[in-house]
Parts: sequence; C-alpha cells; structure tokens
Amino acid sequence: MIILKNIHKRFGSKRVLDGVNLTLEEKRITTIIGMSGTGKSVLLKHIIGLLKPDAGDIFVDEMPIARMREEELNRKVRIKMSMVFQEAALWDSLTIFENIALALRIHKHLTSPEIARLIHENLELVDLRDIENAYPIELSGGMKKRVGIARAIAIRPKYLLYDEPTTGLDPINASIINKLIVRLNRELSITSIVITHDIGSVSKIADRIAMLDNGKIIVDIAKEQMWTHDDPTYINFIKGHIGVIP
Amino acid sequence: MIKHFLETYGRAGKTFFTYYGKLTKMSVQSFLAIRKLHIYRPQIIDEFMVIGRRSFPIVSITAIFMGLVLGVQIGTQMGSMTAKYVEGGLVLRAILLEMGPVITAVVIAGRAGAGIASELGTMVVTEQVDALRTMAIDPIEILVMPRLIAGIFAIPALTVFSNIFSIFAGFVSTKFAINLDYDGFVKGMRMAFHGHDVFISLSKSLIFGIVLILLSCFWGLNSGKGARGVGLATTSAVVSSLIAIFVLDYIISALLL
Repeated sequence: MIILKNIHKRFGSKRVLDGVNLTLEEKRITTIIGMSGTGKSVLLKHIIGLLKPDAGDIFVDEMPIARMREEELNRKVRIKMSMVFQEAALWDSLTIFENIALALRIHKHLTSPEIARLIHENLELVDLRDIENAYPIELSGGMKKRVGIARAIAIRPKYLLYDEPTTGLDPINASIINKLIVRLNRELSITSIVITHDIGSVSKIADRIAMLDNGKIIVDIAKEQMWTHDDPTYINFIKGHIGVIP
Repeated sequence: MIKHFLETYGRAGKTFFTYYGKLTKMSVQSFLAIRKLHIYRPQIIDEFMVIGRRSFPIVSITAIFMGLVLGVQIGTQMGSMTAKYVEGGLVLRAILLEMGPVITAVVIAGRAGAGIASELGTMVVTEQVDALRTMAIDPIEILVMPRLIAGIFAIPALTVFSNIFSIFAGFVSTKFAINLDYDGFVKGMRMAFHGHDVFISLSKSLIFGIVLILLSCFWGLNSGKGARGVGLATTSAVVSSLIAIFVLDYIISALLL
C-alpha cells in the first residue's frame, strides 16, 4: 500500500502540492485526474522518488521514502516499482531489445537466453512481435507506449505508475492501452496508479478515482460513484470532458 | 545601493558554488562508479568508438595542417644565422609540449564534448534520464562513467596520433619552406628530444580529456528545458571545456617544465 501524508511542494513561488493526502490500495487501479498543470505528474514523481516533497511523507509498504537517499530508494523502492512515461522515454540509442534488457542485465543475474526469453514474453504481453531489433524512432506513438509498458513490467513490479498513458493517441490505440492496463492489473496483480485527464479512460479502467485540484485531493471515490458524486469542481471537470457545458 | 550590490554578487556567488559543488560531486561519483566497470563494458566500448574513432578524422586533419603551418612559420621566422636542423627540434617540442595535446583537446571538446552535452541534454528533456532513475539505474554509472573511461583511453591515444601526424607534416612543410632534408630534421629532433616531453604531452592530454568529458557530461545532465536548454547546455560545455583546457595548460606547463 502507498500512503501520501500531507505532501507539500513548491517550485519557486508556485505552490504545486498543498497538503496532498491519499491512500493507494494494493492490486487496484487508482486514477488521478485533474486539469492540465495541476501537478498530477509532480505527484507521481514524488511516489517513485524522482522528486522530494518540501513537507510531508510518503509510505511505500510502510517505509517512509521522502527522506531516503537515491541509493536506498533504488534498493528498497524502485526495485518493486516502475513508471510508464507520457512520451514513453525509451532510450533512443538502444534497440527495443536493449531497452527492455538493460534493467534485467543490471538487477537480475540472468543468462542471455533467459533475458531473451523474458523480453519475448513481455513483448507478447503487450501484443508486440518481431520488433526487438528496431530502434524507438522506427515505432509509432502507440507502439512506443506499449514498449514503455513492456520495459516497465520486465522486473515484475508490485506497483506500476502510468503518466498520461493515452495522451496523444488515436482512439484505437488509446483503447488498446486501456485494455492492457486492466489486463496487467488482473493477470499480474500489479497495483496501478494512472495519471490522466481522459475521462473515457477513467470510466474503462478505474477501480478508484481521485481528483487533484489547487494542490489538494478534493475527491477520492470508488468507481461506482463516478457519475453520482456531487463535488462541483469534479462535476464541471467530468461534464467538460463529455461535452456538457456546465 | 550596497544592498543591491550584495544581493547581486551574493546570488552570483551562490550559483557559482552550487555549480562547482555539483560538478565535484558528480566527478567523485563518476570515479567511484569505476568499480562497476564490468557491468557497463558494452557502453564503454560504444563510447570509445564515439569519442575515439569518430574524432579520428577531424583530429588527423587538424594535426596535419597544424604541423604544416608550424613548419612554415618556424622556418620563415628563423634567420640565416641559425642552423637549419634546429627547426626539427623546435617543431618536435612545440608539438609535443603544446600544440599536440592542446589542439587535440580543443578539437575533441568541439566535436565529442558538444555531442555528449547535447545527447545527455536531450535525454534529460525527454525524461530518458528519469526513466533510468525509476529503473534503479544510476545515470552517473551508465552515462558518465563509460564516457570518462573511454575518454581516459581515447584522448591520449588521439593525441599520440595527432603528434605523429603533426611532426610528419612539419617535416614536409620545412622541406618546402627552408629545404631542410630528412637527416637534418631528424638530427634536430634527436638533439632537442627529452623523454620527459612525452610524459608531459600524455599527462596534459589525459588531464584535458578527463576535464572535458566531465564538464560535457555535467552540462548535459544539468540541461534546462526544451531545445533552448539543450542548446545552452551544449554551448556551456564547449566554452567551459575550452577555458579549462587553456587554464590547465598554463598550470601544468608552469609545474612540469
């Protein structure tokens, strides 16, 4: 379980997170929604330790991680947590095979045939075949995101963080990614935290929905309450996205 | 007035020490990361190819023309009162002690250093460096240390080739400028040669190499956002490397000569 307690973060004079409290339950898909620029990605980067909060703490499996040093984060946290980046962030000087193999080579003591088998398995899981020798620049946006997911699940993480996984994709590729997020959650029991402002995606994948606004979590509800919750900011956001002028 | 002065210079001082603190920290971490050399062997070989092999043509061309110019300049500056064979020694020592290591480092700073800074800067901007961190891979270990090791071997090796090409080109241009034959040129070189000069030449190239690789990596990893940020990081890498090379050249020369 991941618990965020009273997280504050400023960049210069701009207050981005202003006392965020949130509990992310295991084996569930929690979507964090909010307008662009509200700090959703900043929040995600705090969970994996890429950013440190100015105040407050984050507990991953009861371990406080906010003051951990980089080496300790690597050893205790990032070994069971992965992140899928908005633009996939594939290493463009490496082939797809090497992109997925890199973390396996460094962290797992596996033989080359074992690594090759695992890479093949992971690419199969995201419905990609025969692209091991391609470079990221040769792939479409949707394929890059799926390779990003294959790379992230290679170490079989307990927690998987997605930063706007469907942004910039056409509806068909967005649907493929949504189905994949649900399948990985169900088949591999991965606890998923998905940052998005795509309400279509939220309705398809979420078990829980949290909304970030003005640096605070203003809504934290189960999927069943998605269309019935009465917070006005939340309603405006949802209606805005389905084309109803508030 | 005084408050404004203190604020301005205080801020500049803080920025200066913050940057140098970060650079020192990164440099120490890079050398400590050498203990994991066996894990990153493929990256070291790749970087050796990028820094060494791909810089070879430009270093060679620069070295040849540097030697040609040196031969002509020294030849025409020497009066008729000086024995011609002396030019062999002058060309040799000028190249070994100064021109070879300095010009090679300058060329590599412009070619490989700029490449390193822009590549790492782009990796920062496109979150590729963050992706490494999320996978528990230390960016210093995989991005800086292999380049440092490659530079430690490649830059002195390039300097050796540069010295050889320059001396040969110096001989050719001397032949045309003052009609000094091969035997005379070699006689001059033998008379002027000290084994210590080779040591200084290689020491300079090694130190320049380490500094320019670390500065290029540092500016790349601390790149600002967007294309402008990467451009500024690349410029800063080249400018700071050039300044460092010339400052260090003076210090090493003053200490070792």
